[in-house]
Amino acid sequence: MRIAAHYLVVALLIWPWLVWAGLDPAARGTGEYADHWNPDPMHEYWDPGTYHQPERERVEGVFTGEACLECHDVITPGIVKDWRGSRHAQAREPVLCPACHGDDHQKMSLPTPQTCGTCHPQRLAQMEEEKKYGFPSHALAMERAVDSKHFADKPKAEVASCLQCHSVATKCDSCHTRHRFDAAEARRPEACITCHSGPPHPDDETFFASAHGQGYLKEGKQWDWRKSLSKGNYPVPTCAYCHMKDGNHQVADKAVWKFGIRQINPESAENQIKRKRWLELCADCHPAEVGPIFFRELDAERSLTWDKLYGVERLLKGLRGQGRLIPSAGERPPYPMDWLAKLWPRERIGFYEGQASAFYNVSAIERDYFDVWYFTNLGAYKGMAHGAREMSIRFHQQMDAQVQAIGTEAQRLKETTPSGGDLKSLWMEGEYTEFNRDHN
Amino acid sequence: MNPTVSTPSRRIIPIRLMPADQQRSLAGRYAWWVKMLAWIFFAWAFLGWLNDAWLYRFGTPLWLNRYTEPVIILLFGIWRIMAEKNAYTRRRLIFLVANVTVLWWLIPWGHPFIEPHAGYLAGLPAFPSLHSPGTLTFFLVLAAVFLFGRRIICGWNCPCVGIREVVGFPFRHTDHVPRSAWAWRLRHLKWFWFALYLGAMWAMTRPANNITSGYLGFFAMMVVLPYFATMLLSPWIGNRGYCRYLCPYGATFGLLNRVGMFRIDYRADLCIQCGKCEKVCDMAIPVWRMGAANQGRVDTTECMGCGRCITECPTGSLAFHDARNLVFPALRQDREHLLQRSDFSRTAVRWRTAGFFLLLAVVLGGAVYYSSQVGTWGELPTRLGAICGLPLITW
Repeated sequence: MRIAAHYLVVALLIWPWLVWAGLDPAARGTGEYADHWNPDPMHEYWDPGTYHQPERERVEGVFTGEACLECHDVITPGIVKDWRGSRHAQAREPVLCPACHGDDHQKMSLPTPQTCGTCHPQRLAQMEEEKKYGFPSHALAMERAVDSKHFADKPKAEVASCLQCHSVATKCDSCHTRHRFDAAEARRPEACITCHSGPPHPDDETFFASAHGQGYLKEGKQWDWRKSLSKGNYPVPTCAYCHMKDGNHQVADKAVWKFGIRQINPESAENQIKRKRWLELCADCHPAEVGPIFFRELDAERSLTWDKLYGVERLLKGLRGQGRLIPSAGERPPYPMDWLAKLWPRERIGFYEGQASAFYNVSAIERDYFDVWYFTNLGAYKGMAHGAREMSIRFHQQMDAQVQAIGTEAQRLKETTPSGGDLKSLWMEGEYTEFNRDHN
Repeated sequence: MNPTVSTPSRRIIPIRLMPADQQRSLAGRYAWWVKMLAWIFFAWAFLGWLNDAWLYRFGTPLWLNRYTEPVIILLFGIWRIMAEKNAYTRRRLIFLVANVTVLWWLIPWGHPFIEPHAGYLAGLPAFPSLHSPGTLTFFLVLAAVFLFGRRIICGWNCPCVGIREVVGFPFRHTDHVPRSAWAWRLRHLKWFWFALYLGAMWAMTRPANNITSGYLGFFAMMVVLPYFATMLLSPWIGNRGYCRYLCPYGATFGLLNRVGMFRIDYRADLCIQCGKCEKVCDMAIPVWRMGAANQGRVDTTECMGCGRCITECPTGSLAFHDARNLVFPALRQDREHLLQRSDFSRTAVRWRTAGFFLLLAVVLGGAVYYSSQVGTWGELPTRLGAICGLPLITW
C-alpha cells in the first residue's frame, strides 16, 4: 500500500513533465493562416521539422549508438527489434540511433525528410522535384492542409484526422514505417491504403475491385516484394508499380486529372506528355494499342461527369440568382480569414469559386452538391481510372440519384417563398459557431 | 431673323481601296469584306483558345484548339507573303510564319516536350515556354534580345505579332491606329502589366500554394483575355494595340531593348523630314521626332524591329544598330543594306535563308529526338542531361 502511494506521488510529480515534454505550449500554426490556429500536441509528430521539441526528460548525457541500444532494448524493445530487422542495422556500418536522432538525450530530434535525405539524396530530390508539378502532390500535402480555410477554422478535434495523412510531406515514415523503414513494405498497396481509402478517394476499393487488384489479392502474399518496381518483376501492377515506377518518389509525375475536382483539358501539351508516360507504362504488360483505348474511355467518363456536374452548378447558380439558397451567404458565418467573403458574401459554387472550402456552414442543397462533386464524382473517377468499371457505374448511378434529388429540391426551393425567420442570428451566433471561434 | 448658314460644300473624294492581294509599308485602306474576314479569323483564334482552355468541346480538334491560331497564321501568312511589296518585310514575314509554324505549332503539337526549368510554375512548361520565367527558352530569348533587340522575338518569331501582322493587316491604316500624342502616352499602360509579370516571377520562386497558384491563375487571365480582346478591338486601336499598350513580355523585352545593344540610328544630315518613317510604324512610334530629339538615337522600348521605317526612308537616314555593329564598326544596316539582304536573287541571301531553314529543321528534329528521350521515368535534372545526350538515369 505504501509502495503504491509512493508511485502515486511520483506519478503526480512527473505528469506536468509528461504533458510539457514535446510541443512547445506557445507553438503557433504554420502557413497562410498561421494566426488563426494553434497546433495540437500530436502535430509534433505530423510536422517534426516545425514542431518537434527535444524531450525534457530526466536522462542527461551524450550516448553512442551501442549505449542507446543497451537501455532501449529494455525500455522500448519493439522499436529496437524493428530496427534490428532493418537494412540500417544490417549494413556494414550500421546506421545507429544517433545518426537520425542526435546523440544528446536533451536535444533529441525526430527525423524529417531532410534527415533521411542526407543518406538518400536522390529520393529526397525526387520528392522535392514533385513540387514542380503543383497540386495534387505528396510534397505539398502539408501546406495544402494547413492552408485550407476549413482546417484553420475548425476546432482541432474536428480536423484531427487531416494531418495524419497530409504529413506525408513532412516525414518519411508515412510509407516506410519506423523503425524498419522497409522499401518492400512501402511497395505493397497496404502502405498507400493507410491514407488512400474511403471517400473521397476510394483507391483501395477501386483497385481491389479491378482485375489488377484481384490478381494481387490472390497471389500477392507469395510475391517477392524486395524486387524493384520494374518491368517483369511483378505479375500484376499495384499502386506503387504504376504511380512510382522504378521507385520514383515523384508520385505526381503522371497526374493528368488533378484529383478529379476540376475539369482539365486532357489534350494540353503537359497532359499529352504525362499520358505518354502512362502509355509507356501500360505497354509494360499490355499491347501498345490497349492503353490509348483505355484512356479514351476514361476521357469520355470524365467529360460525361462534368456535363452532369455543370448541370447542377447551373441549377444552383440559378437559385443563387433568385436568392433561394437559404441561409444565404450573408446569413452564415464566413471563415474569419476570408476577407473577400466578409466584403462580398457569396455562395461558392464550383471549383473556381472556392467550393473546396465549402464543407461547412452552407445550405443543405449546396452541401448536397458538395457531396456529389467531392465524393461521388471522385469515386466514379477512381473506379474508371483504376479499371473497376463496375464501381464507376455504381458511383454514376448514385450520382444520377443525387442529381435528381437536388433537382427536385431546387424545384421546391424555387416555388416556396423564403421564410422570414431570423436565420442570421441563428447561424452567425449559434452555440456551435461560438465554440468554433474559441477552440480553433 | 435667321442668318442663312452656308454649309461649305464637301468635296467627296472617292476612297481608293487597296486590292487585298497587295500590301505596302504605307498602310492602305481595304474593303469592308477584307476587314470582316480578318475580324472573323481573329474571333476564330479566340474561340480556339476558349475551347482549348475552357470548353473542351468536340474533342478540341485542330480547327478549334490552341493550335488554331498558328494554323490561321500559316494560311493568312502565305497570302500576305505573296501580297507584300516591301522586300524586307516579305523576308521578315517568311521567317515569322516559318518560325511560328515550326516552333509554336508543329513541335508542340506533334512532339510536346518539357523544357528544363528553374522555379515552380504549378505545372510543367511545354516547349516553347517563352512566357515562363526560368525556362531555357526564356533565358535564351532574353540573351538574344539583349544583343539584337526585340526583333529576335516580337518582329520575327512571335505568334502574337504573327496573327496581328498577317490577319490584322487591314487595321494598320491610320483610320484604325490612334497616333495622337495622348495615344502615344497610353503605351505606359503596359508597365502595369509588367508589374503584374514581376509578381508572377516572384510567385514562381515558391512552390504552389493558395496565394501563388491563385495569383498565377489571375495573371494568366489578365494576359490572355486582353490578348484576344485587343484582337477583336483592332478596328479601334489598330492591329498592334496589344503590343503597344498591354504586353508584359513586350515590356520585358523592351527594357532589354533600351539597356541592350539595339537601337535605330538617325542621321539628321541625310533626313529630308518627309515623315514617312512615322506613318509606316505599326507601333505608332514617332521615329523622326525621337531621332531628332535624342542626338540621332531612336532607342525605345516599343520598337520590335519590323524595319519598315528603315526600308521606307528615301534617303537612308535611318539604320538598325545592334551587336553586329560591335564586331563590324563600319556596318550600317540602312535601307540599302536591308534590301540587299532581302534580295533572293543574290546567292549569299539564298545560302543564308537555306541555312536558317536548315537550323529550323535541326530544331524540329532535335525536338522529336528529345521528346522521345523524355516522357519516361527520369526526373527533371536528368532530363536536362538528356539534352546533352547523357543517358537517362533511374535508380
